[in-house]
Amino acid sequence: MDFGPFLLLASLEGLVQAAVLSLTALGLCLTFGVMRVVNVSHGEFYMLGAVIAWWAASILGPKYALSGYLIALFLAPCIVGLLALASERFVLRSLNYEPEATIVATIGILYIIQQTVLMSFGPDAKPVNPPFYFRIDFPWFGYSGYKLFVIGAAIVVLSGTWYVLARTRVGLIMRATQLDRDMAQAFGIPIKRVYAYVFAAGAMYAALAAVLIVPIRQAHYLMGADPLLMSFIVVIIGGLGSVRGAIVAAVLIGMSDGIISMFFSPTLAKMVSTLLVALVLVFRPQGLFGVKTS
Amino acid sequence: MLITTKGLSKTFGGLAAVTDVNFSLNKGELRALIGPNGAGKTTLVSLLSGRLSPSSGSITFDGKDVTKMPAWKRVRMGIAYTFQITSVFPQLTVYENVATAACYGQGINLTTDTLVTECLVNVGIEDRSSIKAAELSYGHQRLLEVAMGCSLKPKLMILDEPTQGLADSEIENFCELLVQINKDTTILLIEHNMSVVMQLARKISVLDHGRIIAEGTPNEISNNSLVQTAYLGN
Amino acid sequence: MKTHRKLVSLYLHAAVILGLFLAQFFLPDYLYLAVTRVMILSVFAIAYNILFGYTGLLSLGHAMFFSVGLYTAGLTVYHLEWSAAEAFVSSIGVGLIFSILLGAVALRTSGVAFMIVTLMFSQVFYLGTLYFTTYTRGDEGLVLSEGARQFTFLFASFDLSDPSVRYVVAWLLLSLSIIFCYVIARSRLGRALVAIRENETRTQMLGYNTFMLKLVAVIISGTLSSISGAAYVLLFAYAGSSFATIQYSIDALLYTLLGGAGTVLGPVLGAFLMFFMIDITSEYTSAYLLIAGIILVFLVMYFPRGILGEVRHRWLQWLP
Repeated sequence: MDFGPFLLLASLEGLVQAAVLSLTALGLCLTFGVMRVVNVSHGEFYMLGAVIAWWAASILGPKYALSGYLIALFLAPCIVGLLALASERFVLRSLNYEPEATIVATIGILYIIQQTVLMSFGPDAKPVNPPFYFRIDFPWFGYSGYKLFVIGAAIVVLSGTWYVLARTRVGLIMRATQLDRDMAQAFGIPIKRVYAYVFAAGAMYAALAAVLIVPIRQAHYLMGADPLLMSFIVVIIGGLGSVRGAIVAAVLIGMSDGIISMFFSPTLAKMVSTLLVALVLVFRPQGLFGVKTS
Repeated sequence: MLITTKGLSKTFGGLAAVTDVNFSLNKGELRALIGPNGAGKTTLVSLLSGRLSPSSGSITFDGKDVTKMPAWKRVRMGIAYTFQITSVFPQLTVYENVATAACYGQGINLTTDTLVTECLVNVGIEDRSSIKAAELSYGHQRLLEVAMGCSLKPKLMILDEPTQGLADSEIENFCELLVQINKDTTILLIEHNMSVVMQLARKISVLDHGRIIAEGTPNEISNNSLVQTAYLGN
Repeated sequence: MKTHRKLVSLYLHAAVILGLFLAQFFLPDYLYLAVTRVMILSVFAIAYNILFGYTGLLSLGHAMFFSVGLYTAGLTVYHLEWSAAEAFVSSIGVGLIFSILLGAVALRTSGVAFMIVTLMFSQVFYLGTLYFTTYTRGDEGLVLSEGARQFTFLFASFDLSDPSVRYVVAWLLLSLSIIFCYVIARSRLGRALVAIRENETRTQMLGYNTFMLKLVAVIISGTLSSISGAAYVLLFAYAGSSFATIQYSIDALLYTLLGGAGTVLGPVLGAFLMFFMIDITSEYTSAYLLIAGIILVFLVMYFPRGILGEVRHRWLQWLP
C-alpha cells in the first residue's frame, strides 16, 4: 500500500481509538471536575461494560446479535451506573470525598470488581460479534462499517453531553457545584445527589465506551488498565476537570496514538507519552490547553 | 531600622494587592497595621515573612537584602509569623509543638527543654504541656501559637489578627502578654479590634487598596481624614 | 519522654527482632521460605512507611524503586557476571540516583498530583522493562544461576541458595531496617518529617526547609526500597517485569495501612498478616487480590490508623 492510503487507514484507526477514549475520559473528567475525586476504578467500570456486552451476546446467541447488542447498549450503562451509585453511597460518601482516602478506596474497589469478574467470567479473552457486517470499499482497502458506526455514535453522545452541559439546568447545576461546593449548597443545590449522579454518569460513559469497542477488541478481565491510564493522560493534558480540554486532548491523543502505533512499537509510544504527561502534570498542572489561574 | 521595604508591590494575575509600599520598622517597636477588609494587610505581611514573593521592590531585614530569600531562611534570621487561622500540629502534644518550633530559632544556645518550658510558662499553658494540641480550647491554641513564635526567639514577630475569636477576658491577658514579649522583641500586629490597637501600639500604619495611606500615633490616626474616608467610605 | 518508657519501647523492638531470629528453629518447612520472603517484603514496607507514614507523602510508584534495585542487581549479575556483593552495592547507588531524580521532580507537586505523578513514572519504568526485553526478558524474567549467588565475606564463603543462609540474610536486613527506622523516628529528622505530615505550611514557617526534608525522606525511602529489591533478586534468583507493576506499590501501601502507618513495626506486622491471610484464603480462591481490595476499602473506611496506630492511639502513646 502507498503511504497516502496507509496514512488514511492509520487515521481511521486513530479516530476509532479517539472516539472510545473521549467517552471514557469524559467520565473520568466529570467525576474529577465536579467532585474532585480521582476514580482509580474507572477502568473496571469500562471492563464491566464489555463483560456485560459479552454476557448479553452469549445468552442470546449469534442469531440475535443485533438485539443482544442493543440490549447491552442499554443494560451495561444501567448496571454499571447502579454499581457506581452503590460505591458512591457506601464508600466515597463515608469518606467525605477526602482525596487521598478516596484514591486508596477506589483502588480497593478496582481489585474487588476485577477479581470478582476473574472468578466468574474467567481468565480468557472472549470475543463479541459485531451487531452488523457492512464493508465500505475505498479504492485501496475495505473498511469495517461498524468502526465508522463507533465514530458516529461517539460524536452523537459527545454532542448530547455538550448540549446538556452548556444549555440546560443540569449543566448549570454541575458547573455551580464544580466552582464552589459550599456556595452551591447555600443556593439549595442538593450536593449529595449531584455527586451521586455525577459519579454514576461517569461510570456509565466508561461502560458505554466499552460496549462500543468490545466487538472490535475482546472482553477480558484485565482490559480496564489501559483505558484508565489513557484517560488519566487525557484528563491531565486537557487541564484537570475541563470537559472541552479533555475532548480535544482525547481526539489528539487517540489519533496520534493510533497513528504512532502503526509506525513504532506501541510499548515505546506508551512509555514516551506517559513520561511526557507526568512532566506536564509537574511543570504545567493547568494542562496544555488550560489557562493559568490565580 | 529592623525591616525596610522599598517600592514593594504584589499583583495577582493583573490585580494589584499591594502597591509601592515603603514601610519601615524600628527595633523594639510595637506597630499596628490596620485597614479595611481586603486592603492587602495579609498580603503585605506574607511578603515580609516570605510566604509570597513580591512582583517588584525590595525588603531589607537586619541590614540584609532578603527579597529573594525563602520563608524558612527568614525564620532562621529572626522573622516569626503566626497565622490568622490557627495553625498548629493537632496530633502532637503542646510540648512537642513548641519543641518543633524551638529547633531553628535564635535560641539554640539554650537547651530545647529549658526554652520550651520557658515559653510555655510565659504564655501560661505549661500545665497543659502533655495533651494534644487538638484537644486545647481555641483560646489556648492561639496562646500555643504565640509560644511557638516565642521559642524561635525572633527579632521580629508578625501576628496576624491574634485576638480574633477570643473572649474579652482572654483579650486582656493577651495584651499583657504582648507587652511582655515586646520587651525584647519587635512586634508587627495586624488587628481589627481597635481598642487593642489603641491600647498597645505607639505607632499605627494604615493600609488601603494596597497602599499605605497614613502613619502616626493612635491620636493622629484617629483624627486623620484619609483614614476616616477609607473606613467609612465617601 | 520518660526513661522507663523509652526502655520498654527498646525492649519491645529488640524482642521482635530476637523472635524473628528464633522463629527459624520452629518454623515448619513450607513456611521457612515464605517467612524469608515476607521479611524482605517487610523491608520494602518499612521503606514505604518512612515516606507515607512519617512524612505523609502517599506514593503510588514505589514498585519502581523496588524494581530498580531488583534489576540493577539482577542485570549486573546475569549479563556482566558481577559478584553478589558488587551487584548489591551498585544497586544501592542506582537506587540513590533514581530517588534523587524522582524526588526532585515529583516533589514539585503535592497531594493527589504527587500520587498520580509517582504512579506514572513507575508505569514508565514498568513499560521500560517490557520494551528492553532483550536484556530483561520482560514478563518471563531472568533466572540467576546458582553459581552467581555465592559470595565471600570475611574469608568465609556463603551460598545464597541455601535456605538457612537466606533466612539469616533476610533477618539481618530486616533487623537493620527496624533499627534504622527506630533511630530515624526518634531523631530530630524524624520529628521534622512528622511535623511536615501534620502541617507543612506551619513547619516551613518555623524555619524548616520542608522541600529539602521531603527530598531526604524520598531518598531514604527510595534507596531502602531498592536495597530490598536487590536483596530479593539475590536471595530468590528471579527478576521479572511483574515486580514493577503498580500492584507492588499497592502492596507496600496495604501492608503499611494494615499494620499502622507511622509506626516502626506496623509495616512488618502488616506484611506478615497479609501473607497469612492470603495463605489461608488460597484454599478457597486464587483471586487473592480480592482480599487485598476488600481490606483496603475496610481500612480506609473504618480503621485508618491501622493496628499499631490504633494501639498507640488508645494505649501506648510512646510507641515510635
